[in-house]
Amino acid sequence: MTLLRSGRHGGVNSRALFQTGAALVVAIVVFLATQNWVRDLEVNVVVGLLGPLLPDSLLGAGSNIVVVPRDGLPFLAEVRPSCSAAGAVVALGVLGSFIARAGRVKATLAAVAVVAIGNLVRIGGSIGVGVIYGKSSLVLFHDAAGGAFTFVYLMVGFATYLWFTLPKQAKC
Amino acid sequence: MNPTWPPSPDRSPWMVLWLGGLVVIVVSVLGTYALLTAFAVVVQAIFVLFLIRHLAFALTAAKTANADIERIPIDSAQLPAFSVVVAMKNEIAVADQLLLALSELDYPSDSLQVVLVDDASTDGTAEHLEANAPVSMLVIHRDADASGGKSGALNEAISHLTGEMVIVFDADHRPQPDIVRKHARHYGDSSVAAVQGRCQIGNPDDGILAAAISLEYEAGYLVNEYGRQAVFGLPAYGGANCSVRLESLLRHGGWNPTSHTEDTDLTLRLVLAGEHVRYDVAALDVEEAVTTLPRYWRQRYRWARGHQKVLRDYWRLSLTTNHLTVLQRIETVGFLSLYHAPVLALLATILGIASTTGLVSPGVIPGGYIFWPLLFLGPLAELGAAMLLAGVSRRRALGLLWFLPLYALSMLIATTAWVDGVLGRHYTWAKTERSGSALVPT
Repeated sequence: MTLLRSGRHGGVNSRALFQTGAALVVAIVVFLATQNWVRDLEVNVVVGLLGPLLPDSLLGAGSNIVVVPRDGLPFLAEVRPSCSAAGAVVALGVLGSFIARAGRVKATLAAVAVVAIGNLVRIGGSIGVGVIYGKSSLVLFHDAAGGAFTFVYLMVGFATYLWFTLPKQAKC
Repeated sequence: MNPTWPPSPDRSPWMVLWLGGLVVIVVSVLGTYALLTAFAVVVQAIFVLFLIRHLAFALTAAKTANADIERIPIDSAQLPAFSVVVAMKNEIAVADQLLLALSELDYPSDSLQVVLVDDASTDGTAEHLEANAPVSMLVIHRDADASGGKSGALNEAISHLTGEMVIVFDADHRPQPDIVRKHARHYGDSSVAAVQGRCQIGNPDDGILAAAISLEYEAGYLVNEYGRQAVFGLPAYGGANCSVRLESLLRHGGWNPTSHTEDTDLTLRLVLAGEHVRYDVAALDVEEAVTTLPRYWRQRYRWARGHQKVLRDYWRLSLTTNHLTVLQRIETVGFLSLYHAPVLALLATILGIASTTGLVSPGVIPGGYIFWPLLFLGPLAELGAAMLLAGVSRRRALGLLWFLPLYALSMLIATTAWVDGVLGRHYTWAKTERSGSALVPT
């Protein structure tokens, strides 16, 4: 008996699982294809913005930043895939394309902007701490404070996405 | 009635010693580093499985849930007799609203029986029901020394029931008038033993906690429960707004009085016997969210303690039953692991903090900080899909920001329940206190 569309299948709905797998594969492929470019871009933006504030302290090289601390030897800071906003941006894009209807482009762009800017602040903050306090402080700040900040901007990014896709007034 | 629930031997501290001994042996064989790495890999693999599961539910619900909500095929010629049962223990705050909602049920009166079980209330509920319940409703009183919690109260009603189906509500629920008809439409299929309806929070504006729980319920019913049916054909019979064929219930010996989550327990017994549970996303009722953290803790502790026990009681049977496909068996264990996942998440968090602060080498976690995105992406997808489906207002999207602290609290609650359960600490059924603030169905 078919009363509801969700009740059509008595067993496992293989199609739904396949579509989910396909969405994940698309997300992974897009991430792998773009992450180097995104990381390079993030480095260029951070060095471009922080460079004038911290003269003679930063040099961008691909996805790496040469950091010259005020005390101590220069060291290399790498923006790894897990430090980049690329994964979150791709996840938001793929998720948005599946679950939203109206306003999805505007919503996705706004959410991506929040996440990208949030991550630039995280990287920039970490590099700034590295210049002032040294390498180990950079790592600690990046992992602890930066990690917590990541959750915040991801949640704000997702809330932004929903803000643009939800109605102003609740549906009755 | 012959009970079909498994005997529940009391746990003892020996279980902790056993687990501790196992860890010591593994550490001595593999070393601490290898053990932590193995743990991190296993946890991440489990999180990936949960992510796929949540995503599948979100994508499926986003596609078809709204169409199912708007679909209204009710066969007025086929309306089996129903008994509505409500267990009530100290429910004076919500009694009047409940009586009103039950009086307004749209179902032929000769096919509808209402039974209210006063579970030895001490707040005047018993007297209030005697004075105000319509004469068509049957009021039963339990003795003060009666046991079994909600299950015991529901079982007390069984011998009085006249319906072919039994539909259960909690006292704080406000069923919509057409709800029995929505349940009834599934019983034309003789393989259907139980039907679950959708519950919604009626007091989302009663503070931050109620707002967050409201979003959680939308995700739980509009996406998760819907997805379990749409993807795996395995929705769960919940504790309220749920009906069961009396014949099936009697065959299984009634509700399990040794379980703190009699709903999940009955779901497993039905499914493992080859009977089907259906979910109707349009069979709507409204209930009250707890509004204080102590009440939240008590409610969720009971859910966690009961759910974790059901996993311990049924995981072997779930993996070996012939009534389910391999994927359905895996899904069943995944569903039963719902309140074990936060325990793993807490351990993973502790490991993450330890690696961040240098207590253990960062290298023990392959993939680094992938834990958290894996853990949160799935639930966020469910929450987002649910909010879009429910058409909640933009303002309520901000309630999403409370998701993180609430999940952290859930990790503590589930871990406390797990430790207490493994240690076999005594626990008696704890009723959720009401404030009576969910007054009007939306």
